[in-house]
Amino acid sequence: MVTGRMKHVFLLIGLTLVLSLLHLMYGSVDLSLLPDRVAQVIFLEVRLPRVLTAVGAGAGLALTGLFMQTWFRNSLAGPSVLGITSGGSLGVAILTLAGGGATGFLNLGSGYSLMLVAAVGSLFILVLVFVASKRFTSPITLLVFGLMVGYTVSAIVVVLQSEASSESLQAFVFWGMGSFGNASLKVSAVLPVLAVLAMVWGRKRRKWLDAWTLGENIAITMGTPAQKFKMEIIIVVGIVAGAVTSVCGPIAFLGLATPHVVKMISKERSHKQTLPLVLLTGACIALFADLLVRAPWSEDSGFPLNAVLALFGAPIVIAVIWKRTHEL
Amino acid sequence: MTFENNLLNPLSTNCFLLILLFSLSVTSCKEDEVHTSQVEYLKPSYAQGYRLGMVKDCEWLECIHPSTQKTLVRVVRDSSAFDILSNMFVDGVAHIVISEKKKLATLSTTHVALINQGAGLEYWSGGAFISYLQNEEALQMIDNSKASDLGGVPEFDKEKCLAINPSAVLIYPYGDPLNNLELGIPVVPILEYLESTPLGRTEWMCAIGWMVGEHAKAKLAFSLISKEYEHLKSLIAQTNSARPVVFTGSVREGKWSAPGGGSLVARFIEDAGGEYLFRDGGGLENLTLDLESVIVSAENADLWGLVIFAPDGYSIAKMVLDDQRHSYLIPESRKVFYCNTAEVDYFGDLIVSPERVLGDLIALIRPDVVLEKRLEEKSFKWLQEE
Repeated sequence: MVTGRMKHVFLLIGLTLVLSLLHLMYGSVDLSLLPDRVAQVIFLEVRLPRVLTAVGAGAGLALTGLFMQTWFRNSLAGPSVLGITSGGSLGVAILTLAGGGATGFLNLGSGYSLMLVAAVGSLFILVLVFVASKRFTSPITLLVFGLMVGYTVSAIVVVLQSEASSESLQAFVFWGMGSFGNASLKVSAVLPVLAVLAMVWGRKRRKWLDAWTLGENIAITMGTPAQKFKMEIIIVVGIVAGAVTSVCGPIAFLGLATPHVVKMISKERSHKQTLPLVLLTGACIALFADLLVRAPWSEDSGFPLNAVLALFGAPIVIAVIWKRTHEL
Repeated sequence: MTFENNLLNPLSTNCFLLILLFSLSVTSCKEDEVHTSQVEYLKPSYAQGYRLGMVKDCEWLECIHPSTQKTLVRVVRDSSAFDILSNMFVDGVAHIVISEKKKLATLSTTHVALINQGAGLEYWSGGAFISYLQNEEALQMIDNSKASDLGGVPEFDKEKCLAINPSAVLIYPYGDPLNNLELGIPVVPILEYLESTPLGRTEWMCAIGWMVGEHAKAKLAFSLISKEYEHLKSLIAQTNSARPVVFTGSVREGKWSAPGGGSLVARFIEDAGGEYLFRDGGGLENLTLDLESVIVSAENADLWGLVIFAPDGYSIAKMVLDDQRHSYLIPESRKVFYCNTAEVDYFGDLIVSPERVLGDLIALIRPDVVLEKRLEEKSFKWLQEE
């Protein structure tokens, strides 16, 4: 017998496959009209990496959003809100703007080196937020702290920009616009793997995650080792958010809004049930948003990725705030 | 058997000859190897960002960062030259093979103008940021599908670029649209924007002409441009009258933003017989100055020059409407000259026609200099009151 959750999972798997196929089949050129070699290159080096990046980034950011909302017991937490994405940007900015010589001339640096520095930047900010979370008990105060960290990081990036060469500055600006189309096949394949690993971790720690939603003290009495749990969550969120940011640039709203979309479509609340839904919903939203960016049905170019995601995510966040206010 | 007898033996003689031939061939192979000391460089007359390297029959283009003098890439037009360069240079610089007589794709609309002026648009297969393109012929090629629109906003269209399969994509170094993906399309950084002289910038058309096998044609076209430019410059050198002080820029976010003392605009003003107010400030980059100090220093200026984008036209009244503080900066003579990039192809056709820009500027800045041709007003002209 297929349960309601399984129905959702199958539906989302189907939707992910359909959207992926649309991406792979349709683009700005008709592959059937091209020589085999060119068609093969376009398929393997342009379309497939883009699908893998969108799926990996969407799924990964959605999971990090869920983990952070659970950790802070705050439905408005997410990698972009608490400055985690900004931390990743800071890592990339230091590598590209301050250390321009090390990054080569024609590119920002190798995909893996960018991933590493972005992950370090994200982890650094996460540790800061973690320390702050011990002092600030109010979730709102913590969010404001996260925003301030984000502003501070942005200010540091601006200072780095003012000292940077025009080449590295422009490279950073292009990267900062956000896109799923930046990565090569090898680099793009890393993101879905990271997303799956994050989900494996989530499934392994589902009892801790569930217990944590009841409050830190109750979670401890239920056998959750608080320090270990927090450390692991910092590492998982830092690596996934950092890797996604390094490849795609700063991506807004996916992490914050996707868990809420899942709450709208499913009544399941345990992490065992919601983890696959969040992962697949994140992948679907990212793929759908990227369809609007690419607009293969139109002669004209589509919309910037972060604009599409903001149009989708901002109303959801407003709805969440509205609901919370009414519940109070 | 004596030694002499042995030498006379036909079999031994043949063996000896074979060994001799083999030794000679080995020696000649070694002589075929080329060394960096044998390389001759053909440097352009004005541009600092490229040079042509030559050794024996092998020729290549080197793109060099004008400020650091670091070689960024070497471009060759056949794989045998690639092999020679790979053996000769072990400095880690990328060697790029492009196909001669094939079309080029562009990232910038300036590159389209350089191709057009140097080799001809028949060597252009498509470009990005077409919405900024003003060249009518190039736009018609897009409309007739003779060239492809490669996007740019929000993203460069990699699929179309691969489909048209250009010989190379001309890029700005910071904007590699292919992100070094393994797509098999070479990317060549074009550094014309880093040149500090108008003719240096224009001379890049010869580098692009070389890429498509039209170097001689491009050089001829450039020599006509440079000759005319130098002639106009010499007219200024022949006069002894005072150089009017010219300042440029406008208020942006409460600060004064103007081209630096080493910029193209600064050089144009100096070549046109003016004295650039901010000549000692900055290099190629824009200057951001304190508004108060600009108001003070502009007191002694004679002319104000502007490069603006105003699709609905521009006037002194509109300039003051944009920012009231502009009114304090208008020279007593109320002489403000401007170039409206919405009306003229400042970043395209004018980059490859510096002599036209200089002619217009001389007519505005130095009316005492008699020009053979009347003012074309193709680039800069006086800003009207209303």
